[in-house]
Amino acid sequence: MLLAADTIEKRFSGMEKPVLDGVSLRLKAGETLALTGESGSGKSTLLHIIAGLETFDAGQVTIAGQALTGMADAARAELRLTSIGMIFQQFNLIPSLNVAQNLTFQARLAGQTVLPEAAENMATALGLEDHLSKYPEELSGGQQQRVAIGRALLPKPKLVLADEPTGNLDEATTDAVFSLLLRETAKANAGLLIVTHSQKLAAQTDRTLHLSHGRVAV
Amino acid sequence: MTAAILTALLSYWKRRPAQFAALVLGLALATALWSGVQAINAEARKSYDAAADVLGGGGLRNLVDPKGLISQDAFVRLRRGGWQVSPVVDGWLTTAEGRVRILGIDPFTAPRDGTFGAAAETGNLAGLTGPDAQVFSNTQTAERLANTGVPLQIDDSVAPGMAIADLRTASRLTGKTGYDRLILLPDQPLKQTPLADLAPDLTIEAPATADDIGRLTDSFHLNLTAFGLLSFAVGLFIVHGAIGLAFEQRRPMFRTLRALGVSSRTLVVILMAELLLFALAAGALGILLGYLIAGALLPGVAATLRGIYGATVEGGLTLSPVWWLSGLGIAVLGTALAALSSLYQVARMPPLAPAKPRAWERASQGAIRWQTLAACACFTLSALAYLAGGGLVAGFTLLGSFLLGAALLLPGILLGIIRFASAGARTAETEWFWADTRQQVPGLALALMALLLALSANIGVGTMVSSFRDTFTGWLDQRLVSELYVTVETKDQARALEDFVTKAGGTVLPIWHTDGQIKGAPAEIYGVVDNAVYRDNWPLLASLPDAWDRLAANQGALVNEQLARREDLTPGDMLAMPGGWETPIVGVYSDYGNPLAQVVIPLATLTQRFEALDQSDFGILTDDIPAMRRGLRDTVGLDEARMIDQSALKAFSLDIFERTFAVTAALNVLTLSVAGLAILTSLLTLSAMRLPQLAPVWAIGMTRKRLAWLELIRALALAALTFVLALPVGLMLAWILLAVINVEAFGWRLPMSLFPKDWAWLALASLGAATLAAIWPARQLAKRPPADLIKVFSHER
Repeated sequence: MLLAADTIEKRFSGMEKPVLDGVSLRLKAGETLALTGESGSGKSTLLHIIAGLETFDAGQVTIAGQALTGMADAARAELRLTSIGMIFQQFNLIPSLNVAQNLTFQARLAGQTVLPEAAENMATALGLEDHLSKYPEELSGGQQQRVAIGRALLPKPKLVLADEPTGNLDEATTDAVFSLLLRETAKANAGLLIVTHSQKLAAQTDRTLHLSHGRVAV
Repeated sequence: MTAAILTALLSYWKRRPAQFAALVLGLALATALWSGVQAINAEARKSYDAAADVLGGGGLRNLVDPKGLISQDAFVRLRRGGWQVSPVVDGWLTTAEGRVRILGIDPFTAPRDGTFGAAAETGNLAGLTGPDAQVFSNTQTAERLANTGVPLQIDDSVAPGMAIADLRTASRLTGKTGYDRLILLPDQPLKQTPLADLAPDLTIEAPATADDIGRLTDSFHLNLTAFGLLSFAVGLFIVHGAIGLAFEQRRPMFRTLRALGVSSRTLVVILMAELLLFALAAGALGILLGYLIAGALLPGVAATLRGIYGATVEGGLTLSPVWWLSGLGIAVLGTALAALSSLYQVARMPPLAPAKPRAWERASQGAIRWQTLAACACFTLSALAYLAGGGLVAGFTLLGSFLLGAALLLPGILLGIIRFASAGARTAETEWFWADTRQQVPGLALALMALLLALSANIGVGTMVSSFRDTFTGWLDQRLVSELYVTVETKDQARALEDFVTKAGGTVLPIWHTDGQIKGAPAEIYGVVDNAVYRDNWPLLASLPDAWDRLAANQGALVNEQLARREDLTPGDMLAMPGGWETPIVGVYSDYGNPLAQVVIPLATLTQRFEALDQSDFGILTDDIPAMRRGLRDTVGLDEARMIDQSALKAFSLDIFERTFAVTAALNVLTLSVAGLAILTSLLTLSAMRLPQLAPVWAIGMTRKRLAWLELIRALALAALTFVLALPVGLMLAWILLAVINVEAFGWRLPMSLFPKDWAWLALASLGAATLAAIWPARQLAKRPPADLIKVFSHER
């Protein structure tokens, strides 16, 4: 099992009810899973917990056989760097690096040697081959998200976590970017966990998990 | 409506206390350093005015004899011829406690307008004249006269460093046998015998003004003012940065206010009112700090002015309302200057301007291009000022425009260096580090410019002071040729001294001198005997062949560098001496620390040509200083306080030197501290903006600790680069100070030496300041809860 989250509980200080109240999920390599639910249902918090960005109060998370419980900050960072690809709604590219540098950033940060062909192939697959020397602010939203997808996939992560990756894109761009994300994740045989409001996108994944008030809705 | 808008605008500062502190502190410090320096200058100016009032007889004209003293006969002839004049004896008395200017007046004829304080009041005639004639002086000066044996009367209205006595007492104390000048009283009869008939040698002279002393000390005060201005500019950089950032971050609020119906004009007016409020509050704080700074520095300044200019300034600080108001005025003016561009942008902002704050870096990058152009303009102005040459104003224009140009050029050069460094980056981390550093430069530019100015000033002034110290020490070693220096009280004592020293196997070198006017300015004229020690040791900058032989044969005179530079004199030129005779110049010698023109002639010529001589000082060449001291004390009856050996005199001179530059050193430290604060406030204000840039890198897998380290390293790298760039700027500044400003201000040019050890210390200090400034924001980042970083992603939803 690539990802196993068992009975996760999370409560933010000052809040009456827990954000996550015993949520469990499983994800295999090459599988896609959509997390849906209304605003405040806890889906982004669950994604952040799985990424090791947020701690949790109870339960257990295991990624590729490594348990997050008790893992030090540096070890969690290392796990993210080598095994997880993160994609955000606002793209969150590094504004001071150009497209080519952004694409290879995480892989190189993880100490991997990125062959020029690999970067070029990825850029071609994402339709970015003509934009490699541009800076993020010179790209459209769709192009920026393609760079973010490339950055997440180039290090060949076992798990890709995407938080509303098309939330800022128009419908046509959304379809194109989402297809690209599914195609490239499948090519890499990575597991994909995606948070989305869109039922249309969720329908394209292998499974959907709906969260409501911090619990998995049945 | 106004209150509602103001409340909305002020709410911003409540949520950003660090930025508010940066604004207030920057403005307060800028005002403090400026006001402090102004307070010192005002205090000194007040003392000069008081002295000038007395010397000039309260602004009255004088009759003087250009050739020397005025005889009593001439005075009597003038009085009988209907001239309402009052005689004055004006000379110096040297005591063990210091020099005092003795002013002898005739209480029966002296003007009774308060010029001479209580001394000239009718009721004090008995005190000033008679067998127990008193000498009037203020409390501090009285301490210097305590051991002279003259009866003293404290009168705090007498100018500092001065004592007023009757003519007879003054003549006795100064050894003069005539009057230095006759004050022309305001009420003159209509019918007078013409001056040419009564005293053809006398001429009418304009009253002395504060300028006479001020002229000597102008350069010193100009230096202080330049430092004050530099500190003010550094402070304004902080203010400009804080205001600019606040305006950028409030753009969404401005747009909302505009959308709700607030006119651009109203918004700008209210923003101005907000800034005025801050300027007044910070200005008041700054004035308070300035008062404390001035109070702390004034004793040092007073020691300096007394040490090198002989100008006396009281150690206390009394401040006028004008000073307070001008302090507030400069705070308001500074704020207006710092806010001008931001206010202009708000005034021009369309109601539907993008709500998201413009990328600070992007906006500033255009500004950096303009800055580079402005820097070129400054360098051009600097070059023109140098080519135009002449005068302190041109010197300071050269210095100011060069420094400003260097500061303006800094961000552009830094960006170039960083671009070069990033091209060589091999890992993703270093690649990101340099790219991110490049992105930070515009935001930190003002703080780094402030640091560059502070470091350059430190290097420049430090190099000047150290070069001066080196030259001065070497010069003292050469110049102080005698092993022992003594001051006798009477002519009998002088004769006894010569007898004793000769018998004891030593050599006496009289150091006699008189004061006079050369080329219209005060000058000292010294007489020397022909002795090998002078030939072997005195440093001549330029001379005719066999200059010392010519001097010994009474075929010429030596002049000091100040006089030679001021009057453009070279060896071989003729010099008009007081008394209407001329002598050729045979050499020019360096004479550091002396603001006056000086001429050296043979001793025999001095005694023959001049009447009013100070014949009390002697140098003694001896192999056994303790035995000579004992003999002088026991046989000649000389007091120990009237003898000083060469090493003590050197130590005394160096002590004056160190005290002179203690003020400069203090201002250096203050300016560097302000620059350190500028970095801290910039980093703190930028740290909030940094989160969206750092959170993705953290999310990808770089730890907060690692990010914090990189932030610290970045600050250190930028400080180090700034230091490296400040080095040539500082050395250029030192060259300008030594080769241009000093020559204009003091009349001497010093050789420039380099002090790499000082630079190493300064580099450590600047890295230390940068570390101190960066460590807090970096620690905050390392300890930042992950929830804060996650908010970056959540907030954007």
